[in-house]
Amino acid sequence: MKRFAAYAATAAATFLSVASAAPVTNGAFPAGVRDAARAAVLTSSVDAATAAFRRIDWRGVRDPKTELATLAGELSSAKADAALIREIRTKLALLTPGAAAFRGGGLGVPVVEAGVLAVAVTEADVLPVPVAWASVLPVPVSLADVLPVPVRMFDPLGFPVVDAQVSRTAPLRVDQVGPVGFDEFRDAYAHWFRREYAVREAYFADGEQAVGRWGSRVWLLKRQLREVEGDTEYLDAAREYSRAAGVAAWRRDALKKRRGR
Amino acid sequence: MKRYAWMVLVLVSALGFAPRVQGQTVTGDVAKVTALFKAKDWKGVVAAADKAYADYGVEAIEASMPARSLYHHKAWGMFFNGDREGAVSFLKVRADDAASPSRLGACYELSRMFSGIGDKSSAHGYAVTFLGLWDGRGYGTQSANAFSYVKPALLGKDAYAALLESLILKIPAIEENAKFLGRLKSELEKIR
Repeated sequence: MKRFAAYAATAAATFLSVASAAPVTNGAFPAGVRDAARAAVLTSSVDAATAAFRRIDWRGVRDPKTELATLAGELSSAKADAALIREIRTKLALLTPGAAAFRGGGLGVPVVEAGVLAVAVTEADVLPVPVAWASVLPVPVSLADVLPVPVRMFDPLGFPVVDAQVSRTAPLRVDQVGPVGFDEFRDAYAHWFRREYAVREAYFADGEQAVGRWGSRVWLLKRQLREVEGDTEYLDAAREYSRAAGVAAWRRDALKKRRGR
Repeated sequence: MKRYAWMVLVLVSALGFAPRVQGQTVTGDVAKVTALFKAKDWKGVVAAADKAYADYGVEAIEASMPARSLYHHKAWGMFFNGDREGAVSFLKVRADDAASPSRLGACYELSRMFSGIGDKSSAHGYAVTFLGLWDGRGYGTQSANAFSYVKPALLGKDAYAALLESLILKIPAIEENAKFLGRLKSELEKIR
């Protein structure tokens, strides 16, 4: 921690001196710029390093390309943040005539990674059609009974429905049993789903129906159902109300039970 | 009781803040000018802006307001009201003052204004000043606009290349700037 604090202090001090000294015309690099960048990058925070790099004043730097290349080399040997190194390399490519800055060219600028200039797409990035979209693949008749047909994975209230039949014909991995595919199903389902079935009312343990009290969240959610026009939105709102009412009823029951003890 | 607390809060804050928003603060008065500007009441804009400047002082307003604010509205209000020379000199005071907080914006507005008038070389001059002062962050639309007012023939090959390089160095090489950076790079490729 002390080490990082020392680096941060050095970086701050050097930046102040850089800011006041610019522009410098007779040196290859204003004093301390590279040190400042290096020190800032060695601090613990990635954001701080990037911000420090962007704050560098390049006015008066005689050969920015060499400085950038040196900086990138030093940072990559120090195993600094990859995004920052990429940014520096992209700048270098932008300044180099003939180098493809946005196409993962001669300078080894990777293209499709998080936070990169993902403008062009190379052949390697073009994925084949996902196997999961089996409905768009030509299906041999002999295999029709084991390939996944459109599977109903969720009931109208959003709870997963995975029965033995489905898991036999289309084995589901654990990570697929989630909200994947729910939106498409919901959109298709909302048109013919009758509105009165969308709301699942909640009941207390004593059998009495749970009604939201005036001004409460449950009351507001129920009331908002009146103004919803689209089927899909209605289904969503009904789900939200049903869950809120259920939770509230369960909570009241639990509190009652506890007080009764 | 808890569920009525927000109602009480809203009521109290409405009572407390309503008179301020209606024009008894700098923000309120500037908002009034903005509303007049949106309504294209150019005379009203100029009068209200003059009043705000007289009430609060130029420095107080311009140091506290964001980039596009009172000076912008007043200048364009004068411009559209027919007082072009007045608008230009009003902005020039800010553009030529190194200490003015509105300097960057004033340079940009001047380049737009001169371009509208048809004085392309002045538009070019202020656009170059704007791009020189700009630190590469924010002003996305403005920087792209200003760059289109730049005339390479007026700068010369070396100065133009230096301008392009300085812009490439100071604009962060991230995805949201890719379009503008690509434009700069292709200009750089053209002259080399």
